[in-house]
Amino acid sequence: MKQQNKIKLENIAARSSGILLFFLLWELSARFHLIDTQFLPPISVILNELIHLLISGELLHNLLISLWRIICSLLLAAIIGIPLGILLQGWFPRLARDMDSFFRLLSHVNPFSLSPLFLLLFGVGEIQKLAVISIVALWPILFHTITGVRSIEPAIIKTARSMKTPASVMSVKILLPAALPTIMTGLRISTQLSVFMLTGVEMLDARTGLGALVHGSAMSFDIPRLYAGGVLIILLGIALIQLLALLEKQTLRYEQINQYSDAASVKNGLHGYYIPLIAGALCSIIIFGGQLVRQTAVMPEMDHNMVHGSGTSHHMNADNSAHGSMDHHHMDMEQNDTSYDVMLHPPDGGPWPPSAAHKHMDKADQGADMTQKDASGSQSDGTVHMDTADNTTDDGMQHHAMHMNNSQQTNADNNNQGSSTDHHQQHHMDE
Amino acid sequence: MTDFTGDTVSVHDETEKIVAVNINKIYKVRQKDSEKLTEFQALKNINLTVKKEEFLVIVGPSGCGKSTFLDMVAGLAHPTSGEIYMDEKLITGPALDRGIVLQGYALFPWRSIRKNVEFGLEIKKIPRKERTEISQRFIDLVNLHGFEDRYPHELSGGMKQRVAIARALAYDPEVLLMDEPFAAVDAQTRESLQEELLRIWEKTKKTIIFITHSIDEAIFLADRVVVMSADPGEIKETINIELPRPRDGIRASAEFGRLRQKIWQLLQNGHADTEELRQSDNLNDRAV
Repeated sequence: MKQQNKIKLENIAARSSGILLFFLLWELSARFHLIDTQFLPPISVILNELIHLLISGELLHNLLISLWRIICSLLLAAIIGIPLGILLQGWFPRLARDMDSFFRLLSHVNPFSLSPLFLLLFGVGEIQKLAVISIVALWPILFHTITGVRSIEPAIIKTARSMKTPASVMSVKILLPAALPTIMTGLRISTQLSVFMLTGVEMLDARTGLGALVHGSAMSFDIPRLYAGGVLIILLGIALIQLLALLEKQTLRYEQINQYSDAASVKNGLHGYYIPLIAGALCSIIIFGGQLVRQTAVMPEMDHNMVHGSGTSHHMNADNSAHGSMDHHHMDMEQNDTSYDVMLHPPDGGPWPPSAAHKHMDKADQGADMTQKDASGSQSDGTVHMDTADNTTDDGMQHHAMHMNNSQQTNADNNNQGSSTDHHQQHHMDE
Repeated sequence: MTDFTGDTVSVHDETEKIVAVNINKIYKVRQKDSEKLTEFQALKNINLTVKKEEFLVIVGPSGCGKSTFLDMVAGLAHPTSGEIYMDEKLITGPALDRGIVLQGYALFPWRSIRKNVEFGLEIKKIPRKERTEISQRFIDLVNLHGFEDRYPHELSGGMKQRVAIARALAYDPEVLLMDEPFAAVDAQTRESLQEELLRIWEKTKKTIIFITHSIDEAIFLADRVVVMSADPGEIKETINIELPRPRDGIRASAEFGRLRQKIWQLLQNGHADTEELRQSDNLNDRAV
């Protein structure tokens, strides 16, 4: 047994020797200033930053949010793609063939280049992000499902048909499992694509997630942090693919058993130990991650405002602009500790620190003002103000939401409950 | 008694299980160079009666439409003209009163042997406990006890085909349709499978329509052998096999050799020399 473990360890060492050598050379060349450490810091610095992120909780926070986005988008893509593929190829193969070129065309639609369309269809927010990722993830799943169903051995379908198998049973018990190996390949491609898409989406207009972490670091020229984020994204991709491989091994285990010669090992060794575990993990990510996303959907927008607004706004001190988008998380945690105002709106997740709220108060009031005026369609000071405050990369709609949040918060802070309760509840329900 | 002698056979005979009347199947084939569709007659005027609990074997060259005919009996294909009746009811589609076994086994690779055998029972909505009992009985019947939890790829060709037979028998069809089921296994396995099939047939009292290329197999198994010719697919002759059962070791007998010689000659003869003769036969059959 010990001997076996030793062999196992040696194997692992041998397989990872390449990457270890790479890291070693990286470290050395950085230490001896062979490379520009400002743009490529030594690996130890990046690792240090990773540890720092882990301790501060940012790593877990952003990772969970990114995971939530990826898993929800992938599930969405699979829920649409697999049944659609089975239906098309299983019952309307001619339609599937005719639609093929159209689907190929659609699959080349790049959500980034057509972002206005996505804004129009899905607005701004989590739904739009999920839509952007899932629309890209959908095609490999759909195409592989169609191919998978098409390449089922005809005799299998003939046998099932001879038993007068009803359509529902045919899809679920014959077509799906028979096409599953091919579908899993599609799912793997989709997973990889969605990691790329996620990074892009989060860099563009999210305040949370690993992509946002990288983007924020780049903006504030925090290079080690940027690399740490990059490494995390790579690790996320690898982890997801590994998870999928595990799932594949489990669901397709009937294909892999032949090296086990006795029936006992089939029964004991390979009976879906991982699937319940994976299912449990997925469920928790979806539920708890969703909670987190909903919380941060309110808070970071305010933080964001704070960070980017600081440069131009007279409502804020300029001093938290440099490290802004990173610091906000620390701040959140502090805020949670103070438990200030939690009673007033716990589901929104974030009480606002009184000091910051004060700074924000009149801006927020203007913001609330603005939203109303906006709705009536008139130009106002509010809009002008917004323009000056928000000459960052963001678009107006986010700020619209942001102001609403501000107003909500400040109203609460002021204990202005008489007039603001309705207002507050309304927003609350909107969320 | 053959249905090729021209005798009028009553459709309402008690012992008749399957009656095929004037089956024609015409495919429209697009020629390579022209847009024109040409007709290809796969089956021509097939009249055939299969008796209850009979073991009927159809032999013929490739392309004589024997598999097409079997698909029609299964309800998976439809004749261009003509009807097939089972128990005096017109066959319009597949149903669980007919089971099929194909050459390629067509086992479901993602299901264990037991789950493969249980598939038809699931469709019949038989409760789990009963399902397990029935599947066990048929797995034992085809001598696969102990392999219930294996997956198809772990089995040899002969074993796979036995699973396919068990699967087709498990949902208790009245007729078993077998399309060259033993064509893919080696000669020795094939003979043992044939013996096993006869044993199962005697035990379960199913009506079997069996298609094969092999003359030996046909004679060894059949009560009657239908010899078909290709292009167009027609019934050339139906031969009663009156060899005693059980037929272990019968292959060496003189009668077996004589029958083999006869069928071989029938298959060798082009259809040209007997064309006229058969046309009159078919006219007679049409009156049935």
